[in-house]
Amino acid sequence: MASSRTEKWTELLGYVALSAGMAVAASSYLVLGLLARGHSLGSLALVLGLACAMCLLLALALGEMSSRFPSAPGIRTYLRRAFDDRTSLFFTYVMMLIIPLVAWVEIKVFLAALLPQAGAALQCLVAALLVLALAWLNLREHHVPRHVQTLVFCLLVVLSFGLSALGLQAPVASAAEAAAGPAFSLAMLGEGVGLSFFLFVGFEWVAPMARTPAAARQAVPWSMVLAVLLLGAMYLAFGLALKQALPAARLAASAAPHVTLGEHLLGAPGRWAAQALSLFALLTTLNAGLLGATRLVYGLAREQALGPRASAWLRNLSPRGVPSHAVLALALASLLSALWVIAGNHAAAVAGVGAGLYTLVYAVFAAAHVRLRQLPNPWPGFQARVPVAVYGLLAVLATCVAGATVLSVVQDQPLAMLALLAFAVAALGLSHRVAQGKQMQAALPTH
Amino acid sequence: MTPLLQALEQFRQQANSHPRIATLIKGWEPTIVVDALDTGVTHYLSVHAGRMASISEQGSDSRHLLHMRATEAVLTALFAGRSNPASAFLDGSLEVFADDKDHVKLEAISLVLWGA
Repeated sequence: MASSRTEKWTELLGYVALSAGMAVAASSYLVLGLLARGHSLGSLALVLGLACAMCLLLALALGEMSSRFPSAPGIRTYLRRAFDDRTSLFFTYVMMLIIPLVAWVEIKVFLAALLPQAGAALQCLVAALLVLALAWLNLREHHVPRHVQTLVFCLLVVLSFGLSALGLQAPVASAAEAAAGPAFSLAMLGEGVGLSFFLFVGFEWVAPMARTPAAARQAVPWSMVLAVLLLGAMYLAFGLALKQALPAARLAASAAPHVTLGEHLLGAPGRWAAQALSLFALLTTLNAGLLGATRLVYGLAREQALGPRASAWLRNLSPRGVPSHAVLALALASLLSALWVIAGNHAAAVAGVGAGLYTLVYAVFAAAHVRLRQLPNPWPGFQARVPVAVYGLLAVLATCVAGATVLSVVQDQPLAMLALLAFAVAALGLSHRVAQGKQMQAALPTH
Repeated sequence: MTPLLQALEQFRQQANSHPRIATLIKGWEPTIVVDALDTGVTHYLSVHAGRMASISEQGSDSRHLLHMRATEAVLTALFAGRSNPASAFLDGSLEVFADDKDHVKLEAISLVLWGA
């Protein structure tokens, strides 16, 4: 009895580690630094708290949807069942755009944390080696076991809370600076909440990862809720520690605020601890992220949803059944984008666009849940019992936040705005063509 | 013999006679638990030594289990090769509980056998 209870808790912890591990990344600390720089202590707590509350509601909605369609590839299935194939495809393409955006920022912050003094050439070399090593591990079918993922995540949580506790106990860098921030405005609130969403991005990737039907009904939905709560507490503590312990000038100059905080508090050992934090965060994100992204690309290729030629190439399998071309394509895309990010200084802007677009995806998830709640469910599982109107409000709020976040980044950068518009037009066109092709295929007489 | 069992047997024979499947599943030895949601019938398909070894209705001692669940009609159509497993999975009508490596193997088997 006791051992089965222990097994149950261990299983739940494993799913929480997967869910939260996908969200927490080295780049999360960059975003926390940006938030700490642009907000007063109270305003920082408010934007983080609001984003956490919205993600918590979303976790409840996603818990219900994942329990209704257990093991299904989240965005593709939920939106398809709630709306139609075209909408689902369009937002799946948006998700595919966000994956390399997040990977760029992640690699950039990781290198800034690990090799702060290194030149661009060395950083490019390390990024290339890192991406190639991950691709090679995937091609050889070497996946990080789940208990290792759990252990690494636990270490990350301990380190993060440890540094936060030290930062919060440290003498205040400047009481005036800590209390100060730009004048409060709705736009600033929207932008802050949108950027805070970036910190939670990916927690829902655990939804299709249930290993048993029972886990899909209870452990996985609960793991998302617990992961969001844990992440909220972790980020709040770390954000307040950054704001309180570091002078604004040091925070502004830092590309890896957690390393700056560690060094400021403990000298070299603090720097090493923060670098370990980056490494653990990168491992937990990339392990699950690359696998999930490969499956997403391969799944779309199998549906012929990436254009006929690209789909035919991407659905290639190695003799051992590994989607080798999808792995190589993702590795190449990550590599090229990482080199572009290292060469320039776009990490904060890219994080902003990624956060805004993902918030839009979350808004659509909330809308899908509203629609699905109106349809009959033959096998109800996890039930959050939150009134459906709350999710409607969440969808509207998240759309506004997404708009404010993306606009705040691209309003002064016409090229970025143009690129986003071009992507939206291309994704709309492709989703329309693919959905139409499927409809025509379905209408053909079968023999 | 139920239509589902017939379809499973047909799938087993087809997989074992396909030249690429043995290489594809080399070293991969799970027991695939096939659950019909509406009738409650369960079949266990053992994979062993590069072959779909046996189908039984008895439970399995294997520690490496992967579950496939759907209504009996959906499962029968899938294993008979009449409907596309990728579409059923995408649609949420087929549930697969396994780790990533097992998911990829199953997708690869269906692609090799049925080209979909």
